[in-house]
Amino acid sequence: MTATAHTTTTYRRTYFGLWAAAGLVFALLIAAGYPLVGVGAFALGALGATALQHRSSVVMFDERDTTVFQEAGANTVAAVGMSSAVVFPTLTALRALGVVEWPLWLAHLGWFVAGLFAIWGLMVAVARSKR
Amino acid sequence: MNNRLPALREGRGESQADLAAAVGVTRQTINALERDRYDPSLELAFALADHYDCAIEDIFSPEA
Repeated sequence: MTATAHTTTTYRRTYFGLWAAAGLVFALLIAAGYPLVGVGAFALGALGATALQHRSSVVMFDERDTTVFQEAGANTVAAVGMSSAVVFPTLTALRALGVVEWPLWLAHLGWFVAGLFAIWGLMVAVARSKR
Repeated sequence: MNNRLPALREGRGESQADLAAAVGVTRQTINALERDRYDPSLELAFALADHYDCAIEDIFSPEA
């Protein structure tokens, strides 16, 4: 492997490592009772990752990465959509029959999924209007 | 899609990293192109053709 490849890999690992560390520290500080410090730490990590991406002299991500991320995103939306189309109606029917309870967190999850697909629909409309 | 990228690159004595730097992508993308695991965008195909001073169809051809 050449020096260039090493550099690209190193930069990518650092980039994703910064985002992961920012998220982890954020969660840990919130759990420890320091939410504002957590927000500050997350902002620092996010800023560091963004600066690294924009200031690096090597190509960190290219068109193939974009294709990979698009495919992963599409698969994620499909997986969430298909599982939601099965899970929520099934649980609703079971609840109506008195078989299961409908916990509050599931209602929140349902609204999140609904919101996610509302945004997805909006993004589809925007993308289609550009073509 | 079939491609003659390895032959063209090796003919010039270039490494995958050299070619990647010349056309503005990562070495991994050049490797994926050469192994027929990724089809390039038109923009990248034109950049590769420009780099080797030939037409796109001199590098890439549809699968037989």
